[in-house]
Amino acid sequence: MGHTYDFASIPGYIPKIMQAFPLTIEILLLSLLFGLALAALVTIGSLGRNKVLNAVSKGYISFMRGIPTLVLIFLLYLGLPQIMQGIGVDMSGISKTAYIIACLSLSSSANFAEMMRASYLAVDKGQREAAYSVGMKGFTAFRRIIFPQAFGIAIPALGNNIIMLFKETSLAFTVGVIDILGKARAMSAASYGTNRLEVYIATGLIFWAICFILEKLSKSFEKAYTKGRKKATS
Amino acid sequence: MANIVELKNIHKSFGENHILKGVDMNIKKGEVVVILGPSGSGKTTLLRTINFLDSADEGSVTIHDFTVDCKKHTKSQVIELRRKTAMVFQNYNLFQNKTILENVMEGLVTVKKYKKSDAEKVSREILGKVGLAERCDFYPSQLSGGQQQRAGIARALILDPDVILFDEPTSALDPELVGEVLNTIKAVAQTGITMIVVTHEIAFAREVASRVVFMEGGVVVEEGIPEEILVNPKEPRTQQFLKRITNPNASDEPG
Repeated sequence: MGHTYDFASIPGYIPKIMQAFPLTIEILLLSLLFGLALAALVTIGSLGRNKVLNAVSKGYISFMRGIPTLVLIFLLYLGLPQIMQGIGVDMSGISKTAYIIACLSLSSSANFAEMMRASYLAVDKGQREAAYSVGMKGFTAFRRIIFPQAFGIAIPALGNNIIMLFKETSLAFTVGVIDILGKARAMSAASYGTNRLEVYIATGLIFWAICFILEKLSKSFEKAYTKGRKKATS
Repeated sequence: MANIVELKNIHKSFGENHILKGVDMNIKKGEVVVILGPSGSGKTTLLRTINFLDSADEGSVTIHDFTVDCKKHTKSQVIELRRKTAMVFQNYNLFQNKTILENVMEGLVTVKKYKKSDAEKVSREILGKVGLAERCDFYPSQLSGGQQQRAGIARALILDPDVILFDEPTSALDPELVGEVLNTIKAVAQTGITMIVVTHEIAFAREVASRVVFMEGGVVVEEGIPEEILVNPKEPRTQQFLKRITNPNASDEPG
């Protein structure tokens, strides 16, 4: 390789790559929203008394945690349209971004569901009993007493899961979505790979910086939310 | 006077373990009933079957003319029954996500549908009565065990229940904090509210109880006024228990 590297050019690439930031954030937020909603349903299924729903929820979690997100993307993006075409349904109208959001929602929902279940079970059972003892109904007890405490317990894991989800948005490039990584690849390709290293260093820095901010946000949110409520060690 | 609490033939098993073997109890309005007994005798379980935190397998619970069949009941019957009771827990079980004031207000706002401002006013008053006026805005984790338990008592009192159930209210406390909580309970007893207290505090039972019930092996062995049960118990099992608890160093062997 004959050319020299020009590290001084790295900062210059950052704004260009960041043009794709809104799309990456869109993918992140929508996947987060659908992932959490799915996870809530799965959690209700796994904690409820219905044995069939228990089994279905556990199977779903096990499958979604066991399958690499990239494999899921290929299955859904390449495989599903093929099957659907076989039964006469045309899926070519669905955007690539929509496929990515669907895949990330599905794969993240398993982690979110495990987080929700663990946080719910971590709330002391005396809290529910106390709520019942003052005459609350089940749902009121959940809404006023159990959920706020489970949420506080879940914040660190939620932060981690969001960071993981954010990093996984980079898989969007595999189907040709111009997210942050997709943009970087396009820039690298446009110069025939001569600035490849600098572009990817800039990309790595962007991901790191955003993850760093997300982590700080998670920490300060946790601190603000659980202020004064933490169990003192007496 | 009519009974405010009636328990009929209460049976309860946990798996193979037959904890309550047919307990009957009638309690009149204003009575302070203290339940004594060795651990494993079923006294806490009995208390918890009254408000259906543990649902008994057989029998019935009647509070203020409202009867719930333990075998066959609906959710709404259980809720109506619970709303006639309140409970003070061994581990306080204050709502960790709420301040002391909010803990006391919670039942008034969500269950009794008080306006927030009204609920706050009466809650502050009652917290003042248990000596926590200065602690209203603290979270439970910021208070001592004794303060938490007094807040727990305020949370139960404010609901103006037909009966308050005390489940070993001082057992989790550091010894030096037991006194303040017992004094609060005594003050509550003097207001004439009906109370059922499961405890190991014999001196407290003697002072406050209008009736002492001694349980062992899932049945009521003996009951009566404290002077009878605590001073001259007829049943050998009661005598043994009192000997053990009042003089822990004495060996059971004759000699």
